[in-house]
Amino acid sequence: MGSTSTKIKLRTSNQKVFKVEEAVEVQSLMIKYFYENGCPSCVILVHSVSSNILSKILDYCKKHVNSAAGKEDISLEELYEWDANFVKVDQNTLFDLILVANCLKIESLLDLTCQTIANMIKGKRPEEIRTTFNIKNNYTPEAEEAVRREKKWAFNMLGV
Amino acid sequence: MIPGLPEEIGNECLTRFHYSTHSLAVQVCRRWRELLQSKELYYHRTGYTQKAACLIQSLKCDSDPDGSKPVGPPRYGITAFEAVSGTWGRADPVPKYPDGLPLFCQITSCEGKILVMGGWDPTNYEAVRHVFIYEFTTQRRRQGKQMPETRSFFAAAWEYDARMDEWQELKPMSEERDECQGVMTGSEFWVLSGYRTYNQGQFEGSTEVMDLETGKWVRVEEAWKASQCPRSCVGVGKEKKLFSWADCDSAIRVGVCSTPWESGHLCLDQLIRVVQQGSFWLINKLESSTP
Repeated sequence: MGSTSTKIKLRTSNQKVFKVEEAVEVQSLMIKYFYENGCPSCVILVHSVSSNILSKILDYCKKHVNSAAGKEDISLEELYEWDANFVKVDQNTLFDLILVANCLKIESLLDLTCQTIANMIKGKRPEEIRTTFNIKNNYTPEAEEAVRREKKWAFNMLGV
Repeated sequence: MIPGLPEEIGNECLTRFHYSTHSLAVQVCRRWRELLQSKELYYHRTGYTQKAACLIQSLKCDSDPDGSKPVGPPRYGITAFEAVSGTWGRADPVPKYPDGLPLFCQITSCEGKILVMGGWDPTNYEAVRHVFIYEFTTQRRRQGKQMPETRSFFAAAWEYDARMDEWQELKPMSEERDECQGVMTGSEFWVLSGYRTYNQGQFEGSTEVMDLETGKWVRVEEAWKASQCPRSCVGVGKEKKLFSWADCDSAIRVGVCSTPWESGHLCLDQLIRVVQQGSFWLINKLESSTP
């Protein structure tokens, strides 16, 4: 499956069209699906993806394809570290990465980005979590107090 | 679930919350609470579940003024160890036992719950029948139905259904077995070694095996190296051969305890090792002394 053999393109909501590179094809279950089902010249619609996001996605796919194929000498720890740096981005960028990873079904990237979101709540109070994600508090004051008072058997992480 | 992300992605993110953050996350909004406390979450996140080995460990207690030896009775609490991140967590004490769990209590787990049962009351050393259940999904603790009889060293077999909160007596074994060790291997329940109460400490080589489908016990002689306590150090090798961790490598010292972990075993003495296919991986130094 080479980039010359497929003509799958991505079209963004602002009508920009991007050619899909080989590394993305390998990582994306969605493109694989299109390709394997005899639709080698489709245009996939991705919402509001900028060329900046798409080049980041390409970086990710290349890194992972190359390391899996042994083309790049990188240890698993180094790859984890690379991933950790990859998701050190502002929240809007992170959300865009998730949306594209979801749309193209790039499973490992989806996992990485969702875990990054999950880690963002660590050490935050409920009010700070709401502010971070723009979540409306729909508890009545009484219900909120009741939840807060619920008997919990918490695990306190040591040295974290 | 999370504004700006599709519903299923929001769910994906919430299922990845670390269990230590659940108690605060449920306070964010009603929908987060509904999802985080649902049974579906536990089953859905299979695959991203954070695996933690839970142990009963002695807590730090007061020392002599010169710090040489501990004074006062040992106190026990539950700790969780995550091999992936190498982090330790400690559970809040049970309100009934604010100063430490019953001595010799047993810990086990099923379906995202940990169960702590039996043991001796830390103040008057009387055997207790309490069962405490901690649910990781809801971060709630409850007290289960008491054990039908006091069991400090589990000399006879009972079966507990955590979902139904019911105890059921199994058929009696051929003899009583103090300080025996129960091990599950597939559909069989092994009760290893132990001793008759009047034989204090003379561990038997025999073992009883129950087929869980028929409920019948079969006695197996010479299954365990006699005169060695089987508590916590039983490993199940190939073809269901039983062995003791303390024997298999000189690096593993006395007082070892182990727990099944991924495809191998997590082995703890003063150091933590994951044992896989006969090789040992040193992971971390134990944060406090072993139970």
